[in-house]
Amino acid sequence: MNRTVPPARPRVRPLRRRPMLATGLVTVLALLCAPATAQRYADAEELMAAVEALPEPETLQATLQMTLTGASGQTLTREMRTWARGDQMRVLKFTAPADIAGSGFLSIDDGTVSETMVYLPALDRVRRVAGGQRGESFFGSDFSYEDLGGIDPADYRHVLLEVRDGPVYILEASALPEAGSVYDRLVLEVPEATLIPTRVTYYRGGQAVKELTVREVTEVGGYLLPLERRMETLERGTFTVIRQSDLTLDETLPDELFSERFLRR
Amino acid sequence: MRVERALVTVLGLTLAVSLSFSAFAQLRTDVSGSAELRLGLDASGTFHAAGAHFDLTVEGEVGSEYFPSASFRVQAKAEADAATGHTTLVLGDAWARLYLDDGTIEATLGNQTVFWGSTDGVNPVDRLNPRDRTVPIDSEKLPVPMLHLRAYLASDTSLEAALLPAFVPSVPPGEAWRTAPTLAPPPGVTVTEVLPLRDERPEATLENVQLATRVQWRPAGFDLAASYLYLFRDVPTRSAEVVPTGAPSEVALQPVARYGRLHVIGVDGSVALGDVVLRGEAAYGLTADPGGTDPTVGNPSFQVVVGAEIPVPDGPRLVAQAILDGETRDASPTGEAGGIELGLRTMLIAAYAVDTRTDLKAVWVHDFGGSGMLRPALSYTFADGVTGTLAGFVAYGPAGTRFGDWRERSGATASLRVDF
Repeated sequence: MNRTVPPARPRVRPLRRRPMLATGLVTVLALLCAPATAQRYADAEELMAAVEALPEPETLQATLQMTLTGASGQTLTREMRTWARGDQMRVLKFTAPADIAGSGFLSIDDGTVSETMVYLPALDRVRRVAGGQRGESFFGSDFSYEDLGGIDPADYRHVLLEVRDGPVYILEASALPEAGSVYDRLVLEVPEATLIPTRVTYYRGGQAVKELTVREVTEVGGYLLPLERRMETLERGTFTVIRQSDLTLDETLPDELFSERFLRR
Repeated sequence: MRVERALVTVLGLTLAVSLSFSAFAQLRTDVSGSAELRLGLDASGTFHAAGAHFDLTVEGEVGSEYFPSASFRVQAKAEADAATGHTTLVLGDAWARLYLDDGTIEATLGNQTVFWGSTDGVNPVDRLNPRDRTVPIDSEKLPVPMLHLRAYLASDTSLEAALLPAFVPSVPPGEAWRTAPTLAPPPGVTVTEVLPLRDERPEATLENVQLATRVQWRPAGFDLAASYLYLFRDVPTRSAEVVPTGAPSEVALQPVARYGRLHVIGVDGSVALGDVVLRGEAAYGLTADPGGTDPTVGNPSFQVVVGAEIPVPDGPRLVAQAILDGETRDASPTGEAGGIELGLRTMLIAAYAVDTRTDLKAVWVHDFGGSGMLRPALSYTFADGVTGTLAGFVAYGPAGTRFGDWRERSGATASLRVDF
């Protein structure tokens, strides 16, 4: 689950917050009163309800560094700045390397309006991206546009497969036909302590095609945020790491930020 | 001189803008550029490219983090090509921009490039900038002096206006890409001399100003734009005047290039329908010779482009387009209307990212007059900002057709580009 970059869809929860005090109490109680595998959530519905109930920041600004590693181990690096308001609006602009600097990406989905636009400075042109392109690679990375959009729980039917030590919930999410996802199903590992999935395996045609690993779950401004996400394309052996820094949360962002005007700027 | 004047103007504006805002706002500047080496060989065994290109851009802005109060860009381009013997140093973009009314109005003055249109590769309404047609299949747009205004009337509506004080024609095709002009002498006389071309390009006067406006509506799911342009034809109408030599039955021919006025009305738009984006664009160009009776003036013409962008799951992104051209034929010597000459082309573009470093792209254009061209390209990113490209060009069709005359230009080009 992509928690560090707010997704296009309104129902997705890219950034989850749980109060520190509550987290601490839960942890202490879990250590003192329960065996290692004791679980708070009996089934998938309870778990997803807990995930859904977590608060999230109103807005986010961050610098992202995207490192693309090929099968040979050689790397390419892209840097970008992102601004997001909730789950509904997100702007992303590349700042490096020079050949793609200035390129931008605007995603709006407020429940009634759903559109994605890309700005290419070489052409000074804003282009509408079709829904079917959600499965395309995001600027050559192992993340697709859909991956960056996060996982909308409403698009999946969830089944709890097992509970491992931790406890860590192993959850299967089968895509509903009307969701239009490029994946058939996902398998998520969700630690109870954070409720932030630390590993997501994406399946298509019955085969595992990608694996997302979330690292460095850290408290920032009262929110628990994963600072690093790694997406691997299993067949090719390539992977992309997105690392975020310079985070600013809950600062008011003007409406004009999520516009073609700002994309062109 | 024109380039120097523009440079001085823009640098002056830039300086003025910088001084005006530097007292209360921080000036942020950035320097970037690229260098490229190219080597190209065509089917006849001739190197059609063996050169280097370098460009340097300085840009900056003053104002708030989100929307600046002003910005500028100045770009210089240098090119040297041993194969063509051309060495050039030109001014590229060189403009200053003011953001007014909280950024809802942008006023840009200077040498600039403006893109209008929706379709891919062929844009009937994208007529503001002339093009460098030295290599016609590339036809890069040339920045020209312009005042460009863009006003965001609402969140989904924008209005643009452009004023071009001086006319700049497109650069004609290079020698290798030209077809020999046919200058028919009047019957019964002998042409003893063909005089140098007389280029009657409009002077930079008030009555020769070019204007254009465009309104775009971009609600959820689709966008629609209407454009009107009052221009000069960027490609001249060529004719020949007979010049008496003094000797009986002997004349000289004076080739003349004229750039007639042109009214262009265009519409364009795109709509997302599920997995597919449909795009369309059409323009009609009206000249001062609607009946085609004056051979020294260009005739009315139109162009319609419709296409679809189709992403193939795990495959390439495809763009399929049909392009319909029409032009009023010259009237007969008796004044009888010549009708409309139509031409239909299809264009198929396939782009595929093989992996994070390797991209494939192919463009196939087929003209229903019996010719066509294919342009495959493979690019590989060696490191951040370092890209190598191997591109091919294959033209087919009989001589005298749209692409058939370019068969000899079929070949391949290798290039290495560094962006910094």
